[in-house]
Amino acid sequence: MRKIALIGNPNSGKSSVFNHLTGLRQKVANFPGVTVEKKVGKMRLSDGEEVTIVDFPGAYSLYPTSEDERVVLRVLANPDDEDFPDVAVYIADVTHLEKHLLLFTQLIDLGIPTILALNMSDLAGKEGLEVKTEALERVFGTKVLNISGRTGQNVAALKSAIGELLRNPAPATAFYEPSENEKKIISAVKAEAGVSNDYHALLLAHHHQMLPSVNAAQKEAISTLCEASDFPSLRLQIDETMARFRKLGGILQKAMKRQRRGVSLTDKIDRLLTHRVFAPLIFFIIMFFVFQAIYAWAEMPMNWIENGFAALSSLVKETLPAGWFTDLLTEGIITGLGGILVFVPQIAILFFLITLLEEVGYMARAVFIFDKLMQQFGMNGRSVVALISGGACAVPAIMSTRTIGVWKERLITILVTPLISCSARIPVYTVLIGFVVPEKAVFGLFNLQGLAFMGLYLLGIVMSLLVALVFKYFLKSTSGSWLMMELPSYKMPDWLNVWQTIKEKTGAFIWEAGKVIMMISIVLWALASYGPAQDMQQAETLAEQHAAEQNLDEQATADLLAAYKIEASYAGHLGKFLEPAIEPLGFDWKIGIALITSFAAREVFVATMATIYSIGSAEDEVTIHDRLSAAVRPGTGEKVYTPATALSLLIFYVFALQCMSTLAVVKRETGSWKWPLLQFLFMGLLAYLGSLITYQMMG
Amino acid sequence: MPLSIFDMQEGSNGWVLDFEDDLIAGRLLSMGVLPGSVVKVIRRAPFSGGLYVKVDGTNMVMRCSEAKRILLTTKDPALGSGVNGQAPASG
Repeated sequence: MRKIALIGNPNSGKSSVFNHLTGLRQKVANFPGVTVEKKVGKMRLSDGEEVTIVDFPGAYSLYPTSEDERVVLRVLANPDDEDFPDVAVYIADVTHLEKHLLLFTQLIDLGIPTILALNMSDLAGKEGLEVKTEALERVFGTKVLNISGRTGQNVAALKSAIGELLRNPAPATAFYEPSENEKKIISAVKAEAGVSNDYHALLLAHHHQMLPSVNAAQKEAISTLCEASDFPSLRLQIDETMARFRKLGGILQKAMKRQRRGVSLTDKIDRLLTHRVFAPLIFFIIMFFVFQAIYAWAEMPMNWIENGFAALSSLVKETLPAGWFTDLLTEGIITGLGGILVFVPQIAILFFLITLLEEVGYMARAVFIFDKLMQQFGMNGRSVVALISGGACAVPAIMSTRTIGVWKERLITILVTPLISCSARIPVYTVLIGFVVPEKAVFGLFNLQGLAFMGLYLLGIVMSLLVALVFKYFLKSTSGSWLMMELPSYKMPDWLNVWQTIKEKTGAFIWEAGKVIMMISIVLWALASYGPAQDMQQAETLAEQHAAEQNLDEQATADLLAAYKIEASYAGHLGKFLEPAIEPLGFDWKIGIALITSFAAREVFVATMATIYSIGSAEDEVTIHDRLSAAVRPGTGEKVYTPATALSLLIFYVFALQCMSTLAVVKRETGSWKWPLLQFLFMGLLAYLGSLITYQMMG
Repeated sequence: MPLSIFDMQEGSNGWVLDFEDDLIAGRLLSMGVLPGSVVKVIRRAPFSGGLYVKVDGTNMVMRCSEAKRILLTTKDPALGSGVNGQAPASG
């Protein structure tokens, strides 16, 4: 299948054009070896031929200064690459044409048949901008079209132009005239590497070291050639770029008429939104709204999903004959599936709002506002969004770090986001906080428990920043960090883009993180339901015996049986095995079991505690709190849940990475198990030490 | 010492002369910030952060450390006279 490449600067509106060309027939993958997104779609031309369209990441030049640009170079400097296009469509924002044609001239020089699409032409008229496309066609020797990815104007014409160019692929004549020095190295590299295009040869001379398509022997040979002749690569790149812009300037002066730019609407909005005092304020108001939305809007659908799966589980349980398979199905698979899908509302809502902010152009401003602050902690302006979203749920928050361009800044953000207290910690905090502080008003205004709640949140925030500082000094930086960027003009969002992003993010979570979550939840189910046969048998006999002695009703008997069984299970054995290790933290084996099972998700802690204390059927937090406060240590008769134990447990839950979904997502986003493992270990260590210190100081 | 973007007052104009750092130069050039481009500092970021500038009518942001490497003149090369504070000639 022949390939069409969509290429253009960041903010050129490529995605909208891509959506129009492909409709909904598209999928997102990564370029090989990097976490740069590659959107691939299909389109049928008027003659019936089906072609593949690849939406390349935004780039300014083939002299790369970012990972995105390196990917574009890697493909375009290697005609054997699987994504190398038969035809390129260059999308340029017509309202900033002077600055957006550099890469276009480089494409022409590579001999790739190219169409120049002047995007946002619907805005050009409003700005009093006139472009003579025929004049541009004459100078560049390519087809030039006015289009609009927003309104869909002329997209059909673009489609037929693509078909025309595929039938008759005439590359334009070279744009840039190399200097004598460059000509020498070009002919030498052409002979050495066996390439036919002049500019391709020049790119190899500049970039052979970073191109995987150039083998070691060729790298060596080209390096020798460059050293032998006078070839100061960086200087020549600068000279070439300036020469291209000089020529472009001359061309556009003749082919473009622009009225004086007044103060635009964007400028007016930015007076407020990037204001030194109001900007952070407005940002936090927006983020508060985002946080509320993930938190509040997601609650109802999350309840539907939870209840739906609970109902499905009991339906299956009633229909199928009892046995291990039914248990696996109901408690392992269906519960696991529910555990995956329950995140979908939060992910969808977060990405709806984030994409909206991105689309209208606000996100670039947020980066600008918080750049300096977050730099102190080795992160990026965009990290603020992830950290705040982490307050609702770390899973979508970590997925949102994709837009952070610098790998080290992105990684640090991913690593510290789960330290922000998420909504799943709330049930745990609610049950335990009563043991630590009484419900009492202070200064007549604040509730003491509310203040303690806030303290736990603050603890998470402070620790995430401290840990970020540590990583800032220990992690190696692979590429320089910039801020220099264009601020896009404010505009209405492209709803198709918003929809595509939501679909892609939730889909990726369900399929890729879902696999891991499913496996772990089956393992956890097995640990909690099975045990050494003898122990399980004994648990059953004992439970029946005790239930009969105490004259318990059916429900209470079942609850008691569940409590005895979980004690006899492998999870129970693990809990008892762990007891010596967690005793210094003030935890007994029962808490040990809950620590293991709540790895599925933190809120499982509450349900597990309910099961262990044989009140499985009463899942409300008040009952559980009452039951826990009655618990005493065997032998001594001391209360298990002293303030020291409860606070120690709270600290543990603030720090520990008790969430398999987070681990699965981190694995997906970083591409290796190395980072989630490191994260699990350092957060576990923080939790252990934090709890140890707390308990030992209070105990 | 020549002037850099960092030294500019908010609202005043300058014209790019040169870049002190080849890497920053490469990045800015590819974005179309060239010697001769008109630069106007619009405002500075909160938390003593970066700069919001207008280059030839395009809005851009940069860090202070980046702004310090971009050298300017306050004399419009096209007019040959100082026009500090005046609106940029559109291009």
